[in-house]
Amino acid sequence: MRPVGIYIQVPFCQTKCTYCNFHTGVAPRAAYAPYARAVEREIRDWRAMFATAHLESAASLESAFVDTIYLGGGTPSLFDPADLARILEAVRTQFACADAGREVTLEADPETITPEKAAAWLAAGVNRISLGAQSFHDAELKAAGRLHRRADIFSAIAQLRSKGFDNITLDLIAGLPHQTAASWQDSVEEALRLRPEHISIYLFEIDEGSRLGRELLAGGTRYSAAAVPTDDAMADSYEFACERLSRTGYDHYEISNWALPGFRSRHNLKYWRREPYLGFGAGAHSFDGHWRWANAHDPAAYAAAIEQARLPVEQLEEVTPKQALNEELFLGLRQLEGIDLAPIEAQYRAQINADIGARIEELRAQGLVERSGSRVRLASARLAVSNEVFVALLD
Amino acid sequence: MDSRFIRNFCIIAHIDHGKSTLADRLLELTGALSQREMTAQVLDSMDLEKERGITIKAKSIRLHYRASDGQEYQLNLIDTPGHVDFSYEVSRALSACEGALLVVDASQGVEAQTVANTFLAAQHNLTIIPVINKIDLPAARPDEVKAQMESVLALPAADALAISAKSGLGVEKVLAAVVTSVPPPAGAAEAPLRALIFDSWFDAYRGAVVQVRVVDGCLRPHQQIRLCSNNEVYEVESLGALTPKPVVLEELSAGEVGFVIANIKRVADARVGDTLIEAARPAPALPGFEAIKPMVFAGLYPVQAHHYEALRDALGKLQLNDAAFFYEPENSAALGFGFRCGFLGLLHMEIVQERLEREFGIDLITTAPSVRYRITTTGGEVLEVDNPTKFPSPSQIAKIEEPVITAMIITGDDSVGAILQLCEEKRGVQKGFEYLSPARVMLTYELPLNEIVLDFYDRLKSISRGYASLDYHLAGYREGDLVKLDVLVGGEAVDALTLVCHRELSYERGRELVTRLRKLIPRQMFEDPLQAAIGSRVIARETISPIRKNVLAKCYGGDITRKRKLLEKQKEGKRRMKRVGRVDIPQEAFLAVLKVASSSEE
Repeated sequence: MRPVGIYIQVPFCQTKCTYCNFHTGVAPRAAYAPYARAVEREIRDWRAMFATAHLESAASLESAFVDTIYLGGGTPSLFDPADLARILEAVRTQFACADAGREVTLEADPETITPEKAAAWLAAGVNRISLGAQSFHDAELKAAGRLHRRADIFSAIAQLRSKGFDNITLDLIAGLPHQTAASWQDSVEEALRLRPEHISIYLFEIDEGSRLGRELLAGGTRYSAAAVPTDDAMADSYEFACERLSRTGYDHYEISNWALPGFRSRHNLKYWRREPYLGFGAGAHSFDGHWRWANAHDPAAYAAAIEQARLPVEQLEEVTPKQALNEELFLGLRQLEGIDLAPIEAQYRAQINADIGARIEELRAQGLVERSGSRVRLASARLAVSNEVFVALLD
Repeated sequence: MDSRFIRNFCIIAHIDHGKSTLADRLLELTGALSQREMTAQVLDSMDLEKERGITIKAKSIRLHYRASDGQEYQLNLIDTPGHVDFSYEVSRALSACEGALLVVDASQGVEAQTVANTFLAAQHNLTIIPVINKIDLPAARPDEVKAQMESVLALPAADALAISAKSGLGVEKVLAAVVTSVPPPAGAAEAPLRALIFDSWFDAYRGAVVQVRVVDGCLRPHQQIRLCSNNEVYEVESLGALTPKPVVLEELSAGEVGFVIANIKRVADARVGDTLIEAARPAPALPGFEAIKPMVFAGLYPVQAHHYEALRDALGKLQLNDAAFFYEPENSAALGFGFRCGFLGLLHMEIVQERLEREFGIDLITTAPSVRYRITTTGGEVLEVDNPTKFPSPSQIAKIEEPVITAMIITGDDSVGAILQLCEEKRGVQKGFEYLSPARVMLTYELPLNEIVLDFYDRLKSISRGYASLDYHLAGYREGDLVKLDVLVGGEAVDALTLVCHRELSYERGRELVTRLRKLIPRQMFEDPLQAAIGSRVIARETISPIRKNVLAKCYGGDITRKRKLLEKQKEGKRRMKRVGRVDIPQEAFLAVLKVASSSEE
């Protein structure tokens, strides 16, 4: 039996953060419970829906056993814990679940956490909380459209700890408006003082997907666009964090992720290792090792499909051997331990470019990658420009 | 055909004054085309001509018109191009006519090309019929325009026809005026054949199709004809006229205009300005035209090296129909294999580029346009150099001469100050300053052509808010204190970015160029200098800073496809750049040179 990760998408937030480029939106509270019912039903009926649609893509996962569950969003912590419990129960009913090492993560925003919810989550089987702290500076949080403030982070962690959560990951974003070198360093230090088991650090991505990104690209000043740090400042922030975290016992195992020993995110590693995962909910993505598909992003369209017992898939793509090779390289290399080229070369003999060795050598000469035998990894000093490596290796 | 009933005429006008619309109305009125068959601006048949509202190729259309005296006349309308780049075509068209309709926009008044074309028509001794168009516009000022015609063009304008080509108002009177005012062609039908070639184009099935004006004698099928220029003999296969549909005829006699197909393989063999004579009855050649010489040169390179062959084929096809366009292979250290191309002007260059990209699907990098310099070496040798990279080293140059033009600019007096400043900045020498009316000024300047090919026209239009009009012609060569300005990227000279400019402007140009390039060249893996240099002396420097951040952020619930597409997009972006040393240079950077002089306005 193959292991599979389960991803549950909750595409609702109380407000949309200015930097957010995800398919999420603001919906009235009254929409939460019906959406949770729809997800439950999707989990219950997915095999039948695939069979009716004559799609073989998920067939290989029918008898897989679940070893990780991730409730992401959006802000799943907004939901009534009872609704989340029913969704998790549906997963356990429909799939064999591995007991040992099982990881069940819930994304939570600090201001949404109460002792009662924390207790209910734990009771429902959640054993890992991903806390969207982003910054410890109120001016930055405010400008980014976050609803929590510095104090909320401390109280959230205290509540989670007191209820017994022993696996907490904390997100920080480098590049928020008004962030300075000093304020960033302070956020990193505060995070370290809280000693979460895991830390994720993302660099603000300037693209068309977010309000702030669009404003920056258009040269405007709304959403504090003028106060967004430069690329260089973001790179400095990232490099500072790399340095500080590695000195304080955190293992930098993926470009954006650090963990205390034994606390790597098993679910997220599946993405980089091209292991299968099944996504449920509007806009959820799935991968069976060969096909990638995604549900309708619009919650209404998603709910309508489920209502009619139709497969809610809106994108379905067979990953070509060439694309698979590209993924092996750019996903695999995100992990700091790197990749072993030997099995990749063996598996993709027909696709791999004959000059791959020369390209890697050039990247090595440029100080972007390190090579030892058939193992290749990103140079730790140049992680902030890792796309340059991926693009050079892409075909 | 009795030449008493033939009238050959053209329409001359400043761009956008309604020449093509009037032509359409004339076709409609004479029944050459029914209204149903009319597409807008029939004579502009190339897509580009229609889109840009300009006429590039001259064409003649035969119309049949029954005048009020009951007599049927053959009217040959010879269309002329409207843009200054193609003014040589105007000359040719005029040679085939006895009369010209001079169309002036009732709200715009006399413009630079109005003056230039009137001057040309007078030189060809044409009868000029003044026509004031667009009189139905609220801003029409026909009386003022008449006054301008009289004072500026020295044309009696009291009886100028007032029309609206768009609505058809007064157009009937235009036809009547052509019959009564334009003299019938002279020339003897019995004399030995002499026919002037005033245009030609390439037809994939029939070879060169030649447009002629028969001056003397008669052309018939199966006649043996000779080209005066090369003495080659051909047999006339067929002949006829465009109505605008091609109509095959049995003869073209003295005074008539039409086309001839005579198994001439290449357009280059049927040179415009050449005379067709009978092989058996030689006659002296008619005065021809000066050969068209390209004035602006640039390198065209495929973005992707493997498109070289396709580019060569495409250039060959374009040249079949465009005798003014010239190309030869060249290679550049930065850009690889490509072609040096010669154009009549910037518009011509843009049109060729656009056709290559659009009709042939080839992505191009175009190097900065240059002109043809005349260099006298210290050894006394005179070289003509149209590519700055081919300049001899400064120590071997005794003298550099550059082509100069005489430019005529007509503008409102509110923008005169700014235009004078622009002309001074462009190293112009004022030759004339004349008030056409209290609010209109005509400036005459001698300007170096290389200043015009940069951005003169755009800036002229922008500082006059579109009101200034420009016409120019080549006026010879003038010695200049010119230097070659090199651009070095990462210490390597990039030949495709080399330009020639006046010594006094070189520091400023160099600085502007590297500043602009720094903005256009994305950050690279390494820090590299970007320098402008004259010889070995660096006059300006910027630094391409190393890229610090290019990393994917959070993965949205396993959406790998989005990440992959983002990387593929970056890859595609890199593919479209040219790598010099270790620096990737985007296409736009190669045209930065063009914009240098205007960067200060940004």
